[in-house]
Amino acid sequence: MRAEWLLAGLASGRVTTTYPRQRKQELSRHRWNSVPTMNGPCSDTACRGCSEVCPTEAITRGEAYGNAALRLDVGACIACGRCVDRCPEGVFSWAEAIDRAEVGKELLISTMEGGADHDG
Amino acid sequence: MMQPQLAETLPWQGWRMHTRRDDVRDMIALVAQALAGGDTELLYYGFAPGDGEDSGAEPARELVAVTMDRSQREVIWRFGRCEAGHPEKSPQAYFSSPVSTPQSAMTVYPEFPSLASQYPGALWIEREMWEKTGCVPVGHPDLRPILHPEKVLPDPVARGSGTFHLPLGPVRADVTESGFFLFDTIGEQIMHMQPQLFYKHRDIEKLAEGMTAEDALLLAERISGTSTAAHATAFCRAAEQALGYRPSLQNERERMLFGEMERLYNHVHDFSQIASATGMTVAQAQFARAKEELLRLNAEVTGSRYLRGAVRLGRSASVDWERGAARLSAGLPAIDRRVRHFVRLLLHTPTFIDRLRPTGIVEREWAKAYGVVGPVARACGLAVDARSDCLRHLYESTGHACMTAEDAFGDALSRFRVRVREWDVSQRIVLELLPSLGMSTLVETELSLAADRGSMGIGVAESPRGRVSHVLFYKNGKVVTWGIRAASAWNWPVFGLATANGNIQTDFPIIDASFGLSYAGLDR
Repeated sequence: MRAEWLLAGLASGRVTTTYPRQRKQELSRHRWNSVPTMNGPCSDTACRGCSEVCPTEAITRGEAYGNAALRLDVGACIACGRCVDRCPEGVFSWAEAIDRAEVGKELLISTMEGGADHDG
Repeated sequence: MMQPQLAETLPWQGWRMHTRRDDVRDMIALVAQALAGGDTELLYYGFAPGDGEDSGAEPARELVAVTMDRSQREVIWRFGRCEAGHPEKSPQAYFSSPVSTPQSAMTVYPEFPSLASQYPGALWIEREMWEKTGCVPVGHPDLRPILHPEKVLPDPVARGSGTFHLPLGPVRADVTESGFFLFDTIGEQIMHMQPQLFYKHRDIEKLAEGMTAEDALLLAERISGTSTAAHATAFCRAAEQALGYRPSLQNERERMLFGEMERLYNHVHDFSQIASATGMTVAQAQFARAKEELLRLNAEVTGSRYLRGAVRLGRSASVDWERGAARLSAGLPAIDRRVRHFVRLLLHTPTFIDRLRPTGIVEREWAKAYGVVGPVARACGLAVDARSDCLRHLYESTGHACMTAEDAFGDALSRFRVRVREWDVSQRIVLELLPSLGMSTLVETELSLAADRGSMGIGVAESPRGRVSHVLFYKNGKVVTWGIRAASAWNWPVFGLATANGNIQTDFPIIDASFGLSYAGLDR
């Protein structure tokens, strides 16, 4: 019995991944990239499409953050992908990887204003 | 009361739906009587939205129990209104110390006769109903708060010299979800075990109130990550019935396929867990590898490893079936060969069999009394499977057969063997469904989300852990009341009994792995 287990284990060969050497490729290949990210500033200051479709209010936009500013709280995001589908300017896309860790919830909030990304 | 609109939708084809309004005493008595018969199952039991006639501060609560009679092919919604009650100790009074409990904690609450006093399957449900609303199930044998483990934990039951109380959790090894277990032991022997859950209670049913069905579907997918497709399917079926929408056969076939893809990765995960609990490291690693391969297949076909977004309301999945079918029919057989090989090895390994038999026995009578579902029930020889009772006409063409255990011992080995048999059936269903997908030329009728009359619906699906049922009351395009009964909600109350059924401390990880329960599904 023991020999059978040994052979069965050895016969399956080496199974490994290229993570973390090719971190982004590996994660996005197997759909480990299911959080949205902001690519750049939004030029349409009147549009509220992204914040309207967001079911958890993870995306906010408006006076409180400056009219052009976008605020994305990945901690509140449920990765439904509505913003990625909705935005005509392509501001949102799937992040390349989700292996991100922070020690505080507030560190998961990023804002985008006037072309500069104020992460955290 | 809301006007029921019980459109005959595809999942319920050939079934009759009735609504009955009774005096609450008659209602509970009738439900208990039906459940004692053996052919009837309780799909849902909870509160329904009232009709708004009562303008008082505390409106009379309306109870609803949905039962399914397999032999008569009937679904009966029974309604009954809570009666004005007696002064009762409120659930909140349990959270403060007895000395400081003020007299004002004694308030008059509505009451209803307890179903749990006759049908133990309702024990936890009624505790939850009481804690959420204050309505008192009169005659409930064990009325204690259940939703706030941070405030109230169970007390030991076995006392006396030589007894030892071992608290385990809520933080546990591995990435197991949070749960607290209180063991009463004498030496190694477990005399009694009480699980305390609801650490992950998010009150999803409440969160959904006022949402559109499309938004609530996002919540349904997130009730329990490992039963995403099953919950989404049950929710969509309930919502579509409430909206009077008839899904196309193509749409239902896709949901069935996603359900089986979900079962495959869950079952192989359970194989891996039981191999881990018995120290079979090679098998554990090999099954974990198979699970990862299945998750990658899920991602390739649907875009999500856990099948999120695959089941859609009133629409077919956005999947390229030609490519998806090619990937599945190419990928599955190789995984299947490996899984079968390692299952065969395990079943010929004496140390593995020794640890599983006769560990964690669920007596057949308990399984019936508690309304246990899924592989746990089928391991006791009970043919409980939503796919062969209420969804039979959908699954008929797929060659599905309800798999009960050959030996029906009700122990960990029977549960393992039932899952092995189901693995075979599931991958056969997947391969048989594939050619029929993506072929439909029918134009789907448009689903109108803004149905302006009050309506209700029930949706059922068979998740990897058993039957999940969703009840939805919908009005003016918004969710009014949503009720969720996950498979694990029926199985958890029996888990403590099975753990104490002549087992020792070191059997616990094996019993735990063989039940394969979801915490989030019950907690929701």
